[in-house]
Amino acid sequence: MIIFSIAQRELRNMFNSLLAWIILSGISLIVFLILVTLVKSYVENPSNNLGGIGVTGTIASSIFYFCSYLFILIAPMLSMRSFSGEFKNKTSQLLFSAPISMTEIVLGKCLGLYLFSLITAIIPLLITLSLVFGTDLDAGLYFSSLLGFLLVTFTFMTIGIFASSLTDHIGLAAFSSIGIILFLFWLVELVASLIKIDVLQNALQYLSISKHAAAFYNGQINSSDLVFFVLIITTFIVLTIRKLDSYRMQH
Amino acid sequence: MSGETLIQVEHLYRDYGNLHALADINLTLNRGEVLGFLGPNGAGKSTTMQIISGNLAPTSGSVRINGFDILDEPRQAKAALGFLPEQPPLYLELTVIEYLAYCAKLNHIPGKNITQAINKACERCGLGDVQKRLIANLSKGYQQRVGIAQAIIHAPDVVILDEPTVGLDPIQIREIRQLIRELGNDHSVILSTHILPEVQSTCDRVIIINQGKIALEDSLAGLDSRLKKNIITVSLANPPTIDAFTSLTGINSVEQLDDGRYQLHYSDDFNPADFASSAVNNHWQLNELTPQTGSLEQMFIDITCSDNNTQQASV
Repeated sequence: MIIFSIAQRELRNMFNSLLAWIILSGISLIVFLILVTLVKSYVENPSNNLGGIGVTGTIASSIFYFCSYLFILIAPMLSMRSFSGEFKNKTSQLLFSAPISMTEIVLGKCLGLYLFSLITAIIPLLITLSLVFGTDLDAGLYFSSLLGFLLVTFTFMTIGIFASSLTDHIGLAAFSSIGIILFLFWLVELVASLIKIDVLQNALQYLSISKHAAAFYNGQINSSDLVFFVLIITTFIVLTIRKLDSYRMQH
Repeated sequence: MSGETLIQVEHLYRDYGNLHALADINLTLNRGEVLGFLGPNGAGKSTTMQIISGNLAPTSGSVRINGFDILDEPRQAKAALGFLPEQPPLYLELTVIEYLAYCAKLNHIPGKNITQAINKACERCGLGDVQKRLIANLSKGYQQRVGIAQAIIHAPDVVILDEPTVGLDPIQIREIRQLIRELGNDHSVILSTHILPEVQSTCDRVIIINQGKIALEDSLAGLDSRLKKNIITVSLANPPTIDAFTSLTGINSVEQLDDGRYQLHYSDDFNPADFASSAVNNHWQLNELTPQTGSLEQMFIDITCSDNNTQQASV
């Protein structure tokens, strides 16, 4: 399948550069430090057990939650080259003159980055799994936190790909994807709180990624949240395809 | 199979804002033909190549490759096409083999045939020795060959090469031209260039494009016959009056050049030997007698400049 070939290329491209390795080792270090800190504070003061959610809730979920924050910066760094780099080096012409559709190209690129998210997820997964030696882990909460982490990072990656399709300037692509991510992750809630019109307020609140992600880290897998993530990812994929199709029209 | 039309471009227009980059371009490419696409810089060569390869959408007009419209049925159309853009689309961090394997996959070559396809493309482009090297470390000539290998890896019916010899040294240019000639044996080739000898040494047919319009379309043989000019240049130490020249058989008109030489425009019944003998008989002291053949260069300049003039006149 052509999508897998493109995904494989994208993934190998990341690991050919130092960036992917630096990110992975950085995350390992950070996650390890957080784990030590959280475990220490939990042991010293078990009454911190917030709302009775146990070790998994206070430690494992928090770590996944924190890792998804890191991706606000990591996703743009990884995805900024996806199309900008190809435009810049004119290698986009190789893709555009091959007998493949724009959809396949975009899905391939996305899949490559999603695979990177999956690989990254292994680090907090293994590190928090080490808790198994001292205590019982809540498998359900553990799984829903992992799912939340993956959905949030997939969304960030897709936004990054979209931003990358906007320009052949790599820095600008990274900058705009950070902007879009920050807006949809947080700012949109701030803006919503300022608006007094109910319909608009509700609509803006619905767009907030962090709001939909929160339930996963509390152990809830709501179909409405799942639908939200599917919708937002699909939207950015479609926008990217449209953008690339129109790329042939202008310049 | 010969005579089958592989590329049919009809009434192609392309605007960039107010700039009309292409206006009413029509061209056809038959199987087994090498078509030279010639024009000065900025004439619209690359734009045309980009449109034919599906990288750019035309403002209006149609491109059909092997009977498939590039916009309506891009997959089938592009499958019959290999394209080398002006700047070869290379991933510098890959080795030649890795890169070609990726290109093979992009072109839907089944997994079991990929090695064979790579070997064949490498062999044809003379890449045997550098297969395992990083593309970034190859010389420009070899990078260009990798670009060509990429264009022919899926054995397409049509290969489009956009200025393939730009920036190469003379030896590399000769090798690439040799390669293009070989490609012409079993692919149809469109070769875009502004280098005239390239066209003379490789193409069957030539289209000259200027300012977005087709200025001339002819076979190479047809071009050669256009190039024949009935002019000789003579230099005489003791020249007669102009009238003495025109009184000779077949001389239509005479032009005196700045350096004292004369250009004689003659008709078909003129014989240079007669001129030589009358020069001797009349003691004109003939120093030089050179037949003037027009070069493709001269014709190219004539065509492109005369178009400029008419355009300016009409403005």
